[in-house]
Amino acid sequence: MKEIKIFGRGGQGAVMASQILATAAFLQGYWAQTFPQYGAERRGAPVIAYVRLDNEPIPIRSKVYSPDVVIVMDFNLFKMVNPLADIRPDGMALLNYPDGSEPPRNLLEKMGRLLTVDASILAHEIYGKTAIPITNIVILGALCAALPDISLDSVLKALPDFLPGDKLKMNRKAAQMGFENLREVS
Amino acid sequence: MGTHKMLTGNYAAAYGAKLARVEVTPVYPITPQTHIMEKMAEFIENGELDAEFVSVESEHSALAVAIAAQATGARSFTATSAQGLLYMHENLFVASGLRLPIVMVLVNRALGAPNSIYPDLSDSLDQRDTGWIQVYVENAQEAHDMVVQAYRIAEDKRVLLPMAICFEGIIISHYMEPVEILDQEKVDNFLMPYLPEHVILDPDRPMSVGQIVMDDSYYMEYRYQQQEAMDRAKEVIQEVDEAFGQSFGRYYGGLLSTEMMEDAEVALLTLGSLASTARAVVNHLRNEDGISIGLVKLRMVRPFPDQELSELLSDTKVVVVLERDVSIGAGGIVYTELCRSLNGRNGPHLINYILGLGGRDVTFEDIKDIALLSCSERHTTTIDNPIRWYQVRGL
Repeated sequence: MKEIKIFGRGGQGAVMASQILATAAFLQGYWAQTFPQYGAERRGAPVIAYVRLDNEPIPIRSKVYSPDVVIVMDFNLFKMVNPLADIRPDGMALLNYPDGSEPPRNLLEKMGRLLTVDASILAHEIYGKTAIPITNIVILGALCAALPDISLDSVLKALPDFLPGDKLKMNRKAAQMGFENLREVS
Repeated sequence: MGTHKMLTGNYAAAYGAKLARVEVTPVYPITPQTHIMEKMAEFIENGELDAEFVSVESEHSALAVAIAAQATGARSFTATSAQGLLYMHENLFVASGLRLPIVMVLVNRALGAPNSIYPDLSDSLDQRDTGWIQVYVENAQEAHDMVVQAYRIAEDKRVLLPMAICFEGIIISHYMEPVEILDQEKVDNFLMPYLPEHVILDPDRPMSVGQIVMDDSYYMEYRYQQQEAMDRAKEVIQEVDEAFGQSFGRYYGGLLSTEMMEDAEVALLTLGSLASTARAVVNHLRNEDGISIGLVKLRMVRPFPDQELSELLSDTKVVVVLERDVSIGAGGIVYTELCRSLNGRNGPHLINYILGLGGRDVTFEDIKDIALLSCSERHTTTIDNPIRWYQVRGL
């Protein structure tokens, strides 16, 4: 079983990202389970979403306590929580992190792989200016480049259920851009 | 085969109501139920469901509209949670007293104060005396399937009682997982249209409904007939489960289901989502450690399977009731019900764990620890402190 924890802020689409990811996995034949952990919902507040993937039905419904993968949709969340506190020693983290800055190599000692994508800039290019950068689909695209379990094709197939109509084209592009702009920290 | 899709528990339940071709859905929003209402509105708006969506100003009115609609012969559906359910309370008795087979989804949510959107089963268990059939389900698939089954159970001429499908808010309502959406044609064969004879408000066939009864008239007989109907519901629930299994390939066991209960010295008895975690624990302890333990998943709280539990547990040494609810001043509600079922029999030791209130996380390890501790108590002559609050902070 693979367990994934997604950290975001209310309005960034962490919950939708988790649902699209789970749906993509489901389309590939996995049993998938996803659920949010809410506080009092409001824009900007920290939100956590969880995904579990397995080859058979998942009986447990508790939170994830030692994730294989941690996704951080906004690096500023590190000022409020430590999203990497419980990552598995062989786990993988994917951070929204600016390409122009020195990579956070110090984080790598706690985990197996550390990856970044400059999702805020890419989101700005794709969606224009928004109050909070909408980084969810860009990061999902990047995740597909990092994680052998989920293909970009499955994410693209899962998108229309969540972002139909006019929004689809833009979000397909977002996933593609994320996929192409993943960086590995070494 | 139906269509497989990733759905939340809420959406799975709404799809069930759509497949049952409900005709009137009066609903008032409340977290964590609101997605059901939104999905029903969407089905009606986009033409997938030919039904009347009634916007009301409160849950009290939502059930009042469902009662009125059902009395005209329309299949009604509504959903609520927590404070919304309590606001419906008086109308719950009206629905069951008039013998109207309304189906309602109750998404369990803790009752304020303190306010929480996370689950506590006390909201629906509190309503167990209102004359409604109550089933508790453990995942989105069972929620979907039971909405369809519920209409067939409730509308059966031997029953004619309203029915509630209960599941935990967030932990089932907001979890998204694979669900088989049943095939409409097969559901149409499984579930006949609602054609009432006992209560039907039709200007061409005038009928008086809900009359006043005096002290020397038939109030007692009304209640007695409801009790008889609830008793008969037991066999109807089993029959419908069997018929559902034959049509769709999933059997749930009707009143309850069991896992590894053959020769089990210790039984975990629970309901809702805790049942699936407890099942995994039981399988693990049996297969890995050879421990003589089994699971009883209680599905129906009304009618309560007194006889069935009494027979099932007659040779068990310890029964551990795990529940996400409490009757303050008495103990876990299911535990106190079970005490009644086993009353006067030289049966098993009963232990009650109250846990997970307000959505407090319950892990595989938590249930495993409780199971192992309970196994160590199977040879004791008396159980100390049978009612235990699990991992309460500050003790």
